[in-house]
Amino acid sequence: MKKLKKYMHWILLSPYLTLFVIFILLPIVVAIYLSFTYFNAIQSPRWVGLQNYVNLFTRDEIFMQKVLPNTIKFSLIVGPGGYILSFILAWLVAQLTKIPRTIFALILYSPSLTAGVTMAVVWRVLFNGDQQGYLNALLLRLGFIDKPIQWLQSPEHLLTIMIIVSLWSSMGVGFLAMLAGILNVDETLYEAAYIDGIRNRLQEIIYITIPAMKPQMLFGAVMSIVQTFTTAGIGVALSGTNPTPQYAGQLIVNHIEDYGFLRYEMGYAAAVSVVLLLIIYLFSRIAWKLFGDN
Amino acid sequence: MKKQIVLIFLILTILAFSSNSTFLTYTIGQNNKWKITQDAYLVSEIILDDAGLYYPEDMYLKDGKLYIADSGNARILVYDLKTRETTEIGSWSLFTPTGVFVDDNYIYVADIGMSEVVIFDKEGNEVKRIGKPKSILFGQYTKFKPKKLVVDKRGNLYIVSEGSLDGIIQLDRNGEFLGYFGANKVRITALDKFIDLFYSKEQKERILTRAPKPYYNLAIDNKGLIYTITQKEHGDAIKKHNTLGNNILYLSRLDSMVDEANFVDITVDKDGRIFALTETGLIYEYDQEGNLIFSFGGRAIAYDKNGLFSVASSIEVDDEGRIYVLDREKGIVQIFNPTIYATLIHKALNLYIQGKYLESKSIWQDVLKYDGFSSVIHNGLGKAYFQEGKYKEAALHFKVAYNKREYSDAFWEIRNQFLQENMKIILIILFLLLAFFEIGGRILKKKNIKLKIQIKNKLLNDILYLKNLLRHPIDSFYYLRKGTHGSVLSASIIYALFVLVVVFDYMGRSFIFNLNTSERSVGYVVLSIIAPVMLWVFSNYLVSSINEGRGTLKNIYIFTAYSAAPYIIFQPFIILLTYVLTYNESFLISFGSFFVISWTIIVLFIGVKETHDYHLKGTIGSILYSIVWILVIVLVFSIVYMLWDQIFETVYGIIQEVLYRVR
Repeated sequence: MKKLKKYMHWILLSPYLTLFVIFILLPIVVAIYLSFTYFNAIQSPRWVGLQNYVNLFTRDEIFMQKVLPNTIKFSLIVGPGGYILSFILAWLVAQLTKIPRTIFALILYSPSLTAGVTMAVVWRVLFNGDQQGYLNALLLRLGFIDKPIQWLQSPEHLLTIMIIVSLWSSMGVGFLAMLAGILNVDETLYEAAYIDGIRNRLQEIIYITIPAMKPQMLFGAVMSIVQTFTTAGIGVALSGTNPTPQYAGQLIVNHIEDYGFLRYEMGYAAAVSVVLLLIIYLFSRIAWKLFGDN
Repeated sequence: MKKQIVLIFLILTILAFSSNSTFLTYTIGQNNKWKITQDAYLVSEIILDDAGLYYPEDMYLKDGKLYIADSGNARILVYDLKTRETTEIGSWSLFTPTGVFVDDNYIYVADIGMSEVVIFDKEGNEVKRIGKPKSILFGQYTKFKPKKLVVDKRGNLYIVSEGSLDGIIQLDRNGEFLGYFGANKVRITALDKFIDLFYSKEQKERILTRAPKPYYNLAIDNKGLIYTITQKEHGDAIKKHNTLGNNILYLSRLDSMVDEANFVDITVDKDGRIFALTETGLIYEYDQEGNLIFSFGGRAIAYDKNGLFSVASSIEVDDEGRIYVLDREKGIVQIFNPTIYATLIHKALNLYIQGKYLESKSIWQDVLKYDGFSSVIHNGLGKAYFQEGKYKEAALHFKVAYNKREYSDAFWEIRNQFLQENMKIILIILFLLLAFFEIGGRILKKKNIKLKIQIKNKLLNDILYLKNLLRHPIDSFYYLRKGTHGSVLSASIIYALFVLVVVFDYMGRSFIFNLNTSERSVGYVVLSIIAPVMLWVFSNYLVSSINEGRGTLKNIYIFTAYSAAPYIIFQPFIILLTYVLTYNESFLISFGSFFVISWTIIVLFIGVKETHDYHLKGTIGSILYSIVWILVIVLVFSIVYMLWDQIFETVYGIIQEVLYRVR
């Protein structure tokens, strides 16, 4: 009996642990193992050491010239941009009374829910390549352009449009968490702060709101980092082609899909995934440093 | 003996640099500047000086015969270059021929006086006349004034009509209107849009002429592509059109061609090199991509010289590379023969296009002996090396040619090679470093040791206080004002650091990312930083002392220095980054700089707010007033300076006068 008690917590933990091991830990370990092998999904994996990684950083010109710069540009703008936008909008919405607040929160949250539908209904119509597209029609009427621009097929514009669309739909779970965080800040703290000499809303945000909702800020940051780095479908959905025109909208996950499921070079794809994992881990660490409670 | 050697050397140098040419040949050299190079073309002979040409407007060369549209005499003059015989065509049927084109069977003449295109066969018999197109699409009231024309292999006519803003008129062989071809674009600037807001429709119609510029002349190459020139344009005066009419000349699309606003004629040789002629007689030769190879010729101002022109009107080039230029004023044709130098360059360019990189390389190396600093040569040599895979040499030559884009590509390859050779080591070292810090951090945490170096020196501490501005700007500015941290001395040192970083930013970037400031002196840069900053400190003090600001002059001096913290700390890293990045990753540099500078401005803003204890509104007001004050100070200073200058000059003049009288 006593012996059983000693292992009781393991038994209680076991449902979670089994699921965690099967669905998260095991895939990661297998991916890391596969990244050191050559594996084409038919023959058994052959050990090649660091070769995949060396190839990735030296031989894969598309990765180094297009995919990596695209991903960095995309995530540097969409990550912090979407995060700041989420916070500002959450703060603004939090100032409203209950019923309008709920309605606005729902409106702002809906783009991230309905991304697939709105992509077809809103954005592809807006950026349509012929003169019927809203943006083209507007610019033509104002006389800025003299013939319609192929927004979604042109390598110069695709990434910019992807960034705009992603920013628009970035009010996701992080936004909701921050809204809840702002609403949960103790009102008495503000009163106390005003007695202590705080005089405006900016100081209120910096000295009270943000410190009081650090956990939600951290959650929002990690969510936005993970989301931006793992975005994949957007370029393909907008341009309608895979790979995107001249790799203009190719992000890391597109590259993984390209090698994994089109060329069946699983080992190489696994190596790219591991690099992606490391990048996400690195940025999450920075987020922890900024918002974590140690 | 020694004297003799010196003398021989002197003669040799004179011989090497002297030429029997009356004009100089220019090319683009280092730093994208004009430079004199060896003679590329020399005048071999002058023909038709006794043919009685009177204001000839156009010339076409076909099968060894020159066809000249002799406008003043209303005829087409045919000159056989071999037999040196002249014949006349259309003496009785033409009025003012201004354009001529010849294909395998027919001679096409654009007659602006009769508003018709007249077609003759090779014997000179009139075959057909094409008048104004009757199609409704062409327009009932549109004028048809054919000035220049070319004909493609299918017999379609491309006509430049005088005053036509819609582009080139395209007709089929029967004279049916096919459509307009590739009109120029109107550029509407932000200023135009602004004017639009205020002007009424009538005013706009009266004042504004926003018509596209008409084409002036055109040419066709042996692939059937049309080349046009537009006057009063810069950067894209020359255009090469595909069959849709779109401009496909790479440099011209970027608006960055080296060209002139007064081109009158253009022609293309069999290899696709473009020759353009200005009214003043300058001849520009470009390669297939629109890079300038040579510029030579010029205007005969005081007296006639071979190779110079009074008013040039037409240019042609034959298969041997000889250039024929028609002088409208004098009614003569001058023939330019390419020198060995030019022939070699042409040969190398052709070999490169054919993909024979190795052969082109050896020729380029020969040509380099003629001119060691010509962009064209170094570009060609760099490209040849690049194709060969010798990226280091390629980068070297691209650098001399000031070709940043190609240099960036070569540098990418060099970096890639380096990574390929050392990737395994780099990966292992990175992993070890990561593990080391991770484990080290864990151990320190476990044993609760804090690694903190205590610095006793107050001044050093004050300077290092800079880093606190990054994370806690509001608190740090509070302490700076209180005087707990920071002093005038530390602020001065930080100013010096700031200046150092700015100078580094201006001068120390890598070749790919440099700001084209190689000729600017360090002193100029330093002065242009210190002056505004000190003006800011002073005017902010003036403004805030009226507007209930808390900060004293000392406070303002100190906080301004400290608010440069993000720039001082992070910009050097960005500058160092320029040495490993290429154009591919240029986004990182621009984004990083933008980020650092905006951060600095935000910190400065917070600094004003905290130092003077202002509200948001007061802060913005204070900053705007300070800027206005800076402008006022500059204005007053310049007026006073000018007045003093006057007084000084007057006094100086009087003294001079007195001294003169006394003497």
